[in-house]
Amino acid sequence: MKLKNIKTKGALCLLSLLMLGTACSDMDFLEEVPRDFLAPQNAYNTIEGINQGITGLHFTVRNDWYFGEELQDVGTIYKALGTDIAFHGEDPNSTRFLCNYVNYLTPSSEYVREYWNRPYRLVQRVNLLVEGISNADESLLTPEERNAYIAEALFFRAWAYRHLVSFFGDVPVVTEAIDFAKTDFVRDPVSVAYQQMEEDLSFAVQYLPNPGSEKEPGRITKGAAYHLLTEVYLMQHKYTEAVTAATHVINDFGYRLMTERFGSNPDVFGSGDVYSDLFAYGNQNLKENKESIWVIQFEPSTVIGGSNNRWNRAFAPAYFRMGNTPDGKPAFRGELVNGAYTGYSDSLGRGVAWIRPTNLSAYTIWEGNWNNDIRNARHMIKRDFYYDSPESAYHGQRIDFSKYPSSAGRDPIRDTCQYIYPYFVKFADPMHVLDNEATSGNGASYKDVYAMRLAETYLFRAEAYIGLGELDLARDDINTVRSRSHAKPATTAEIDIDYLLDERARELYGEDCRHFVLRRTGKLVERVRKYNNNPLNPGLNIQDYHVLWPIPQEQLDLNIDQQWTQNPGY
Amino acid sequence: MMKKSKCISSPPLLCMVAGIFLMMGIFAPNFVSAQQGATVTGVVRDTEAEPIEGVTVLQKGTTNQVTTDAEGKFSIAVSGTNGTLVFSSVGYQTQEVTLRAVTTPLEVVLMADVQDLDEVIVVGYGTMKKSDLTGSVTRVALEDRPVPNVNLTQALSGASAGVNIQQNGLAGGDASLSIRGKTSLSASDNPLIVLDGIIFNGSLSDINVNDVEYIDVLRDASAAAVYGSRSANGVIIITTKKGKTGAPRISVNANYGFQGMTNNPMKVMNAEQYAIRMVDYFYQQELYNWYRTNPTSDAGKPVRPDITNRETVAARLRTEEERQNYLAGNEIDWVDQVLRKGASIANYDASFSGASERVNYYASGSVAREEGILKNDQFERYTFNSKVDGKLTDWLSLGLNVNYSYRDYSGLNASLADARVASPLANYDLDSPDSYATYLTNEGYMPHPLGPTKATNEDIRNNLFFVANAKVEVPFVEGLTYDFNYSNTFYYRKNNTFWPVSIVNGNGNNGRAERRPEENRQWIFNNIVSYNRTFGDHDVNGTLLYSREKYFGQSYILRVEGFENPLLGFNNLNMGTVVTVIPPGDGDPARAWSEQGVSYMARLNYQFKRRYMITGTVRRDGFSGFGPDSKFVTLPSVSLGWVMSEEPFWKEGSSIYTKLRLSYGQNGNQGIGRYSSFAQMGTEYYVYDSNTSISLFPNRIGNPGLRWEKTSSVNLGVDFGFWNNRLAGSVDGYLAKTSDVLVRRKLPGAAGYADIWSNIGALDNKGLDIELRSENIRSSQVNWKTNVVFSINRNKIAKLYGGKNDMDVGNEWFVGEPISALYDYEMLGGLWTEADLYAGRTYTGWYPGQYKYADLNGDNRIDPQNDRKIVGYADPNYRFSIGNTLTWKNFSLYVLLNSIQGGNGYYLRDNYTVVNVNSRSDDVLRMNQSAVRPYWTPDNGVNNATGVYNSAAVTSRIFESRSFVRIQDISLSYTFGNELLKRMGGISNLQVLLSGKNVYTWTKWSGWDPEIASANANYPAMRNVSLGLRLTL
Repeated sequence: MKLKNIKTKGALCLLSLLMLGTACSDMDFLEEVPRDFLAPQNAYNTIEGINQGITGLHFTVRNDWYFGEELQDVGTIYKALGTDIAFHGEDPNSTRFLCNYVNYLTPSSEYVREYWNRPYRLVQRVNLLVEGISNADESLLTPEERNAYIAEALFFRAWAYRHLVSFFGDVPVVTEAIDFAKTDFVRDPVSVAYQQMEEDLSFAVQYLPNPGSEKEPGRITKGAAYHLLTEVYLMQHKYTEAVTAATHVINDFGYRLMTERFGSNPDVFGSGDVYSDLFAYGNQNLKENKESIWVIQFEPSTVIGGSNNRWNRAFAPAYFRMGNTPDGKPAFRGELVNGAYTGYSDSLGRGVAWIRPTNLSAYTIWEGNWNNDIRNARHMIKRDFYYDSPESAYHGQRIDFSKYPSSAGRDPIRDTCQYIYPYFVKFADPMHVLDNEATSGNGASYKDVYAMRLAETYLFRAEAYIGLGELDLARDDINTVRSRSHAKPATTAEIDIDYLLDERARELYGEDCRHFVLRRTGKLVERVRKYNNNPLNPGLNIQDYHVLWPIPQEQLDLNIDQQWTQNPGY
Repeated sequence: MMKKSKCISSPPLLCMVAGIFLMMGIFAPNFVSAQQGATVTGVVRDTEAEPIEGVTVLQKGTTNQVTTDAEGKFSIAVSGTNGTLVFSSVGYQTQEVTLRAVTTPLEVVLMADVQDLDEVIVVGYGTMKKSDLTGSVTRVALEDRPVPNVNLTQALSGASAGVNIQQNGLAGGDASLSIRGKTSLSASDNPLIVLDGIIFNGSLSDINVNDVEYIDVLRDASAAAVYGSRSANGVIIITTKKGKTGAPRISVNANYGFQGMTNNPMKVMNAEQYAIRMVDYFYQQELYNWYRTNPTSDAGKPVRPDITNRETVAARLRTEEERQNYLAGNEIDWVDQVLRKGASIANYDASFSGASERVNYYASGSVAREEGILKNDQFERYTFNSKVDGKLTDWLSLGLNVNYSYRDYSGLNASLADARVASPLANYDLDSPDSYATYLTNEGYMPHPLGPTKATNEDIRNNLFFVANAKVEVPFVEGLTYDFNYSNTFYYRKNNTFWPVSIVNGNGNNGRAERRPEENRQWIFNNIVSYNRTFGDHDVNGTLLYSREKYFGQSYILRVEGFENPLLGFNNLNMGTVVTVIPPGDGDPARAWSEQGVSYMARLNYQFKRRYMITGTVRRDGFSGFGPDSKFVTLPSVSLGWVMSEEPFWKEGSSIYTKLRLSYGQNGNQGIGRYSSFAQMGTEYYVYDSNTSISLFPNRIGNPGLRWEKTSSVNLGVDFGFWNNRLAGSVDGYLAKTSDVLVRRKLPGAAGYADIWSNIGALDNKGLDIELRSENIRSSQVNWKTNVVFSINRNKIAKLYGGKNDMDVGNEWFVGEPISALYDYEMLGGLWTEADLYAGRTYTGWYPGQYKYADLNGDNRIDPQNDRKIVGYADPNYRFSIGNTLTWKNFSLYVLLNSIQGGNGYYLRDNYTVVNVNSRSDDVLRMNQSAVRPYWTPDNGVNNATGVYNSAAVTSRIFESRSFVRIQDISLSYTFGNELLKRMGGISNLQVLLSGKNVYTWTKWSGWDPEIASANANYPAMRNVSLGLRLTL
């Protein structure tokens, strides 16, 4: 019927054109109809659209902070580099990877720009979605459903602002969708951002589903919102509120630390334990894993929508590059693929030594519990590497650089920072090199990644208790975490903020964002100077002003209708 | 009568050269005695020995006249003694022959006019005599440019003032084209292409150069105004050949040649430099650590390792394989490996044409094959073109024009970008060059440069363009005609690729196949009513147009991975296991799209006594891509012409022609693409556990108020011809003001979007175009013509957002400055030295081996807030080209010199990654680097490039001038004489030519070609030499 109309109309048009008339309206003819994309006005007019909008936020987080095609290291740097627990191993004195604070943290740095732009991109996506859900027709959603969707979106907004406030201090708090060329942003005091985060998360904890009732694995629950709220309180040193929020997570939703072995147990590196099970392929999303609060979703590229993370690439040593055995044979055969040895081992993957632990995280924190703490088990921190070189007399022997003749011209810095160093195996994905065996997956891994885990909630609460002076209670929370790993219980006398920071390094190395932790506890500069033993630049040249990062020059330049003051020192 | 040579008051450059030849007699007169009352027969030919039909042969002082036939022959009975015959024909200089002694048959050669003011120029929806034009239009006749070209854009280079060509270095690649400076900040600069009267959205590579008769370039607003909205960037009108009255003509052209690199080759580090750089990188790290202790003398300075010790150097290399190769002295030059030796170009075409009283036809076919100088870069093209016009009745003509082209770009070329960074010490089996690793030395930064050549690719583009037209000469009303034409363009491209598992793109997931079909179609119809009449001294010419067009298409990329069996590649996608559909382009979500346009135009041209002329045009355009309330724009223009030399006060019989032109007009620019006013949502795949899910998010901000960009301009021009056009040309000056400039404006990060399409502010352009054509020597034996083109353009931003702080540092836009202003730290020249450091002269945090920048606010530190300024401009200062054609007997030499000049801070471009070894932080240690400048070390005295390790707190771009002078084309041709041709039988014209393109370039630009678009060019400029044959039966 409609088609016929169009045809008739078209014929009329043609006729009228031939007759030089303009019977069929030019305006109709010029109407621009998008054929293959949705616009904000119609994108969220269906439940499917709203669901896809929520997925858009999850996608953004995964893409911008857990993988990211562009400047993929953005998502890994702030986990550990430039702090007390790691330095860049491949080239410790380069101008990248926070090897040197003064050179790296500049207003023109593309990394600084990304740390600014990415959270704001997420904020914009949230704001537009919230607007869309709020305006969605009443017939589409019950008020509860509407609130649940809004709650999940607002969780992401708070998550984004937590990044911005921690890095940059006073930042514009944008809560409305921007639909014009806005160039007069004003820096709001941090208190405004904190208040917004509290509001958003208070809404979120009210309307989000309980853990276990979320629609899909990886979706946001009340537990995740309370966990983030705890952190937001800690950032403001609101310890009482932090304790309350953390206690909700710990008590209300059936979470518990895993203490018995579970899931798949590949045991590639020898005898496993429950801590290694937490990081085994496929175990993060399991219903039985009661420790997961929020898990970022990965899947091999054989599944559409799958993506990989680069934890293996970032954290693993570049062992395959180390060269020869002391008797001059290639040190690693690697796997046999298509009739040729690749030089890579599929249990170690292809690391590039971006993130090499400091002495603190690799050695000091384990002292006293070296053999009993399962987090330091040989299969969790691989300290010994072995030649794989049948032609060599050293085949199967442990790699020991003291065995090389001086004529081998070995460079101790590269040997111990780039090629071989204690490797936190939780970032490895042994035997799951599903992509491109010939290059051991290029360091990509398809293992799901914890964004939030209950062990951290305990340590959040301990941090709050320390802030409140309740050291016994802090000790108990810390010991809850320690006892699962068979570490000796801490005594009250030992408990202070430094002990807590050490414990976080033991439990959460590379999982949390160490920069945020050190900044909110006021320990960044002190501990970087004290513990960052980058052999070529100890202390990373950190200055007192580095507690705040510079505002990217682009933001200053483009915000033409409002002058900003750069953060001090830059 | 004898013609005398005259000194030409040409520009100084020409004058010097011209002077040498001035002594020579230019024209050898014919002296023929006639017997009384005899019959004189003969033949009239042009300079290329083609017979000329329809030449009037008049006995002077009588009414006795005849005309030549199709073979140029005539026979005239001469009365009286010592008669003089006058030969005249449109397009040729009139010639007189005095009859004294008869040597029949008489052979008369007529010279074409250098600039024929009676030639008919296409002005858009109609034609006009050049002498009647009021706008600025230049005609480029391809016959005058005897250089074999595969691509039309190459043929245009240096052809007309204000036409700017930027070369492309890939086989069959389209050069980019622009006319008269930038009028827009970020909307398209591409001029409108009109092919045989119809707006053409195809690629210029679709057109066989030898089918083109001439190209008219409409430069000023009034000339272009008939195309209104599309014409802000100028209009290029291409007219293809059609049949000529006379015997059917068959003509064949063939060219064959070779191409290679230009004289500015790529320079990358060889094995020794590559290896020693690693030593220095780490040594300089140590050195900088020491510098940071603020030493005051050399005491304690780290010592550079002994680089003559090969073991020491080898130890610094990143991989064992490189160490072994270094010690064994193995080395490979990857740039050499990706280049093809003896790349050939070939180009053949044939056409036949003819015309009778009622029908006119032209048909041609061509084949072109071109090999690029990168391995596996090739291009093949077949074109077919036919054009038939028939006059059915006295009042109705019908025509059909069909163009079909088939272009084949199949094959992915070897990567010069990868070759530039590949390790010269990587393992590479020279005996079996096909053996290769996905990544050299297992380094992700070093994909194998030949990797792409291992992919299977077919890239075929079909373009069918036809125009049907009907012309009705309305009976009863003299001079009134109605034209209707309808055109359709069908474009279909298939681009299928399979990357096997062994190369990048394919190694992720067991091979990757992609099929990316693209099809689009465009239709346009034009209704044109024109009225053309002369009333005594008054000429009236009116045109009305109503036109509609629609352009629509679809494309997508179908990607399949996970091939369990790669054997069938992209031909059997069922062998793959993971199927995804991805958008075809970055930032272009369009898989299906359409755009529409509507135009009304009225033009009136009035002339009085062919001396005074006025043209007025109004055009109203609608384009679907603008906001709902701003679809339409109305663009008026008016232009005046005055042929001063026709005035009675001008000396009677003067050989000087002068015309003044003045025009004012408005043009619009819609070059933002469809859907730009819309906010757009993007989608990506996501996964919950292992369940695929679609995610949706905004990825572009909309601007519903987006409206037309308008340019108003004034053009003042003068056309002149002296000494019967032996020196002719034009000078045009213009001022243009663009308002509501369409920009893709960058947004502050806090907005959550990278940029937004907006209309902002205003932009001023002014400039001067000069074209000179001179015939320096004109004789039957020697002929020398020179064609000089010069253009200069300046623009500045007149207004941005209107705020009090009206500049936009982030976008590098400043009121009062050119759009192309470059805002950066000011380099003072030179580097900080150790002496500076020891004496405490360096700023805090600055060390030897780093560039010195100006501390503009004098606070002893360099920071982006206070120490940046405008350091130059990316636009050229001026351009010129000089073409010379020298003909001696049957030989003809053509040389085209082309130049774009900077100076005074103009024509700069960042060349950082090429000239400075420290390309980007520690990339310098991961891959090979260019070796254009040696890097600084404390002892080698280098003062223009930093150290290989360089931790400067801020770095600027390194701007270099791209000024160049290039011998763009040289060709030497030989035309066979008539005697010889007669003996060969049936051939009316035969010419062989030897030509070279991009022959030599003089430039100070460091490394590689100054004109190739990117400083980091991934393909080189090409130089070629070819041998050609032109044959007409």
